[in-house]
Amino acid sequence: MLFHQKTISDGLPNNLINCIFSDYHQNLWIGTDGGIAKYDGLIFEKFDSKVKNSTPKGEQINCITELDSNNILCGTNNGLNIYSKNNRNWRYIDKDTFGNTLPKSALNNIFVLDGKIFLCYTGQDLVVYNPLYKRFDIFEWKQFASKFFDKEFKTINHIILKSKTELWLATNLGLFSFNLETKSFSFHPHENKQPKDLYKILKKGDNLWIAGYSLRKFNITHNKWENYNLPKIDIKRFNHLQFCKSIAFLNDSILLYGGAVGLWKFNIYNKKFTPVISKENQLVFSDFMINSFCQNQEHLWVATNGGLLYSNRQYEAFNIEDLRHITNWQNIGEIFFVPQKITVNEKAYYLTMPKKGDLIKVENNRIKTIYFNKNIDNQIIGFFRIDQLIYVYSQGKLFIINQLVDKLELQYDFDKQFSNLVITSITYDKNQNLWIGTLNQGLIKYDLTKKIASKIPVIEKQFKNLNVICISSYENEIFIGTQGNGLIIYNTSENSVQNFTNESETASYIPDYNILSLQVYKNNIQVTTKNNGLIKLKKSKDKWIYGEDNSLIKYLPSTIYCTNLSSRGRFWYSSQKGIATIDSEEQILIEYDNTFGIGKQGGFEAIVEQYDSNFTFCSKEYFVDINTNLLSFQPQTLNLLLKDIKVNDKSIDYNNINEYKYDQNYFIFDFALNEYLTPHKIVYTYILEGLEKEWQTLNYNNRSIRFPSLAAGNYTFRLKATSTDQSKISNEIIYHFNISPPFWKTWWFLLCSILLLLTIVIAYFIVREKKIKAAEEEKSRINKVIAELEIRALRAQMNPHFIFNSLNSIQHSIAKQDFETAYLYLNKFSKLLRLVLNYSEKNYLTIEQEITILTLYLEIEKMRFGNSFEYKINIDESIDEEFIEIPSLLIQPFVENSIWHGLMLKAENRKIEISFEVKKENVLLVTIYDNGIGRKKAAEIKSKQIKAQDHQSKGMKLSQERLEIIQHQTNQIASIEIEDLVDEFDQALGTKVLITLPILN
Amino acid sequence: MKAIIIDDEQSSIDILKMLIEKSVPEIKEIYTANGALEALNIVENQQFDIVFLDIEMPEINGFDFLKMVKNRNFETIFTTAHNQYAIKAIKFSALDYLLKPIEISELKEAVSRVLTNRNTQKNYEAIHENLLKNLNNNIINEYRLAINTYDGVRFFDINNIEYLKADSNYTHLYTVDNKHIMTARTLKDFEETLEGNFFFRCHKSYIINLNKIDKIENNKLILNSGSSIEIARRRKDKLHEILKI
Repeated sequence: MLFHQKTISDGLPNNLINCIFSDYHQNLWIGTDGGIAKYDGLIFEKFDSKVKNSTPKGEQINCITELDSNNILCGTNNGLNIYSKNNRNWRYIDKDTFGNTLPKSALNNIFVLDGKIFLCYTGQDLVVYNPLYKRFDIFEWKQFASKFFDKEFKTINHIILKSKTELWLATNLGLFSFNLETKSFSFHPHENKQPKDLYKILKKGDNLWIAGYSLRKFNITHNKWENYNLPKIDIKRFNHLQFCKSIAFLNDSILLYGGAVGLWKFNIYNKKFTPVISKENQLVFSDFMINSFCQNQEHLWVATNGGLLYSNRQYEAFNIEDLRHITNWQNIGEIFFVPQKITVNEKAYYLTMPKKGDLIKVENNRIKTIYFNKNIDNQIIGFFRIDQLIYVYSQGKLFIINQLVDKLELQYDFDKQFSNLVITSITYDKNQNLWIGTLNQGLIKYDLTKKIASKIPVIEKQFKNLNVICISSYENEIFIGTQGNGLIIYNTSENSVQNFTNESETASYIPDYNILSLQVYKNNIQVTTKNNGLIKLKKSKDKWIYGEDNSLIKYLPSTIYCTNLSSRGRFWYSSQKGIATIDSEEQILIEYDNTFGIGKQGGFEAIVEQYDSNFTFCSKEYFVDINTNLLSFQPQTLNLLLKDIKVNDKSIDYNNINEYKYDQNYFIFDFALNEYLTPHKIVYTYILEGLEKEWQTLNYNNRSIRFPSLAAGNYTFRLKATSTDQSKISNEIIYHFNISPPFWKTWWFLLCSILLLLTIVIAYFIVREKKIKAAEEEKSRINKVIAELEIRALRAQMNPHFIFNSLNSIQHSIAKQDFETAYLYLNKFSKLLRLVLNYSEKNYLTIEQEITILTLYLEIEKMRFGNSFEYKINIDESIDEEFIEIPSLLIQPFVENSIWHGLMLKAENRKIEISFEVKKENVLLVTIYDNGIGRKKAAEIKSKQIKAQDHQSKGMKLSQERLEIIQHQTNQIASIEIEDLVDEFDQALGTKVLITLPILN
Repeated sequence: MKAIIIDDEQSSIDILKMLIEKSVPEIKEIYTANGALEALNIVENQQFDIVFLDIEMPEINGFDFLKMVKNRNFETIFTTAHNQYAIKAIKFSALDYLLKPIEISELKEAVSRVLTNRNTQKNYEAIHENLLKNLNNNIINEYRLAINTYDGVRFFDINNIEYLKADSNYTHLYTVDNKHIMTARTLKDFEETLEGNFFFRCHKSYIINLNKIDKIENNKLILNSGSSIEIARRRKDKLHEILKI
């Protein structure tokens, strides 16, 4: 058996391995004396003891199993530990929630049934832990066992299921059972209370196979024990005598049995032990302490004190025989040709002469020379098998081996008929003709029944002195591979010749004149050329066509040393990488490299099909016999497993969750594959439909795929694993998921937003339209009012009272013959009148213009009242009276009111003061102050008068209305305030009118 | 000085005569003429310093009279009750006018101005010709502006005036061809004169020709000549309004 070995140098924490377990996710858990490790076929993951909860408690790992797909159980020298794959956390279980404390002794084995954990502690009772309720139950086995074994040490080593309600217990005291319903134990003793020290039980049919002090069988039905001892071995070499603690079924008949005695195979039918050795890599199993076995898929894992060993069922198919092991081989001397092996039976084979073209027979490592060619060095010798007959050719002679006496019988000496020829290859057709390819003499047809040899005139006519290297026949065509003339096809029924090599190098011809080998199968010819590698011809409409080749050949290594076609229609290749095979239907290419123990380099120069359909690959140093029955040519299905999906670094329950929010968009897919044999040949291909259009490839050492920042949308993740030689194909992982867009990207939100926006826009325009309309209406209304007001203001200004009073005063002056006063009066009056007329078109006047009018008015009034009051007009320095404009003739009514109702009713000391000042930016304050009688008194006097209409108040009212309009138009304050000034005795001191106006630019 | 009052209303003649006699001693001799025809005979035959000329007269008005007079070597002071159109032309012509009823102070000022100008050489013929030309022109933008300077009256096509700058009671006038004239008229007077033309008071001290603006900067106007003129804050919006920018 071929074994490979993994040790500390490969990443194991310790070479002393106690247990191995293959979990649901196809990880191999390895328990050593120096901690636990996880192996995924690529690397050993160790658990860092420096981080809290990152290692099980206890360095010495005794057993590993799983509670479910997410929880690994591990028994150490300290007891039970549970590992959660989700949290990546180890938990040490030493007490339950009911206050029960577990024994601190070493935990030897764990058995899980219906979610309950059965624990085998060293020297303890049967302990059952229910992880759901976190509760321990202890069943007093020791007390029960004491009935049979009083003072002896008691420990349970292994538990398996007996029936639905019963368990088998392997203990150091023998075989017990436990009833789960009655919670009662029973004992299954051997005579003399033996056997003791039972370590591991395997159930097969009606029998229990138990490893322990020796291998035992217990027949359940007949309650009968049997004991099988190993063949006598050197007891001194082993401390533990025949002690074996591990047992496993390799197949239906072979039991693997290992322990301190090394590794053994036990045939359960003939009850024979055979030691397992691995010649190729020098593993001698008697040196190892075998602790346990683990089998997953085709793999066998062996835990030893010298590391982890593993083998594969297919390894069995390859048997290497080093030529140097053959007795006296060294005496044969220098090898010129690759020796070819022809198997006679299981024990004997012929070898074509490695030196001069001799033939020898090897039987039980003894060499017997059958044919010895005395004449020339470097002879070509070959053989050809037809049914049971083995034809041997050497130079120009054709022999048959007489296998009974191991002698060559000459069939035909072609050299005599055609001088100076060397046979290179032979084929035969269905008409009992041998077709013989030769150097120098081309193709020779040999009729086996008539024993007549002849050349083919058609070929001779076309090609002189053909050098035939290989030859093959199919139906009525003979295919001739030559050196120098390429491929020639001879049709026997039509007697026609066709040359398939042409200098023109057109597509339908083989572009190589040197053919090394050729195989014909159904409608395919496979040709190995010297310079152009493998070429395939296909028959289409009775014509051989060389064209675009989509066959699996292109996956073969570039250098092919030799090829063969098996009788079962399978092509075999020898390449620089090892051995490869393709089935005739071209479904699958399988490669075997040194992992299978076929030698360091490969490089086989001959491939021989033996009588039993097995193959021998021959190199100058060794043969590899391949038992094709042990190989699987079916595509092997790999089990690809989605281990974990992380979204935003958080593991999710991907079996139930497919919908994600827009910000759950960072996906990591972790997966596992059960490929431990040749993990480096695996290529992962994946696609995230919705993101990518083409399949992506991923190298074998990546088992994680990341998709950061996925946009919203529907996705399908697909993942496959295939081996580079296409021989292994995994299941396809498919995971559909959907990332919903953020609500502001959903169609309904967008629709709503658009509708809302549209509504707002429409509403805005409607409102604006209405506003504009209203504003226009308001504006036209105001303009109308303004125009009206202006006219009325003018009228108010030039009210008849004033005009006629003024004229009356002038008349009075004239009457008094005070002409100067009259003239002055008239001048001012006419000037005022002119200004008022001039400015009547204007809505606004500058302060300067307004003051000119006011001054004239005050002058006239003053003259009328005989200089009986003083007036003063103050202008703040900061006022630019030439530029600042105010509503025309606005102030005059207030001045008039002050004079007539404030001052004139007062006896003396009459004063009126008008001030212009800038209150703040763009606000003008006009103050009209008089020290008259005050409004209250004036109103009293007024009320006594009989008056149809009050001109003054009308003027003021008009001014007020104008201000309101200004305020409305400018949105700035335009107001009139009237303050009544009083002294401390509440006596009127006068009136103050405050007009606030905006300064318009 | 010798003056004549020409009016079609006897009351007006009387009042002005009375006012002169009473308040303007500089005028020694006062002639009166009732109507233009009567006045023509007197004015053609005698040399007057001042002619007080009423504009609104029947048959021959004041301007017709001036057209008909051959010897126009006198100072004309128009008297009018109300004639905006005529006043505009008069202001353009560096001539004076009095509004009826006449105020004594204004009369005095007008006469004193005549006295001041008498010292300078004054081409009355050209002044009167300019006035009549302006009156005949319906396009006020083609009026020629007469300006009294120390070396006589000068006439300007207002299109050639770039800007005017106040200097207390004087005004500097700058033309596009880089001429610079100083005159004893206030900027305010010019503002009234040029009102309605393409001129704009952009600042207390400046009137500019709107057609000569090159660009408007933040608080400045750059004229075509490159002169930089300040804009008063309060005039900026008005300027924008006028220029429709």
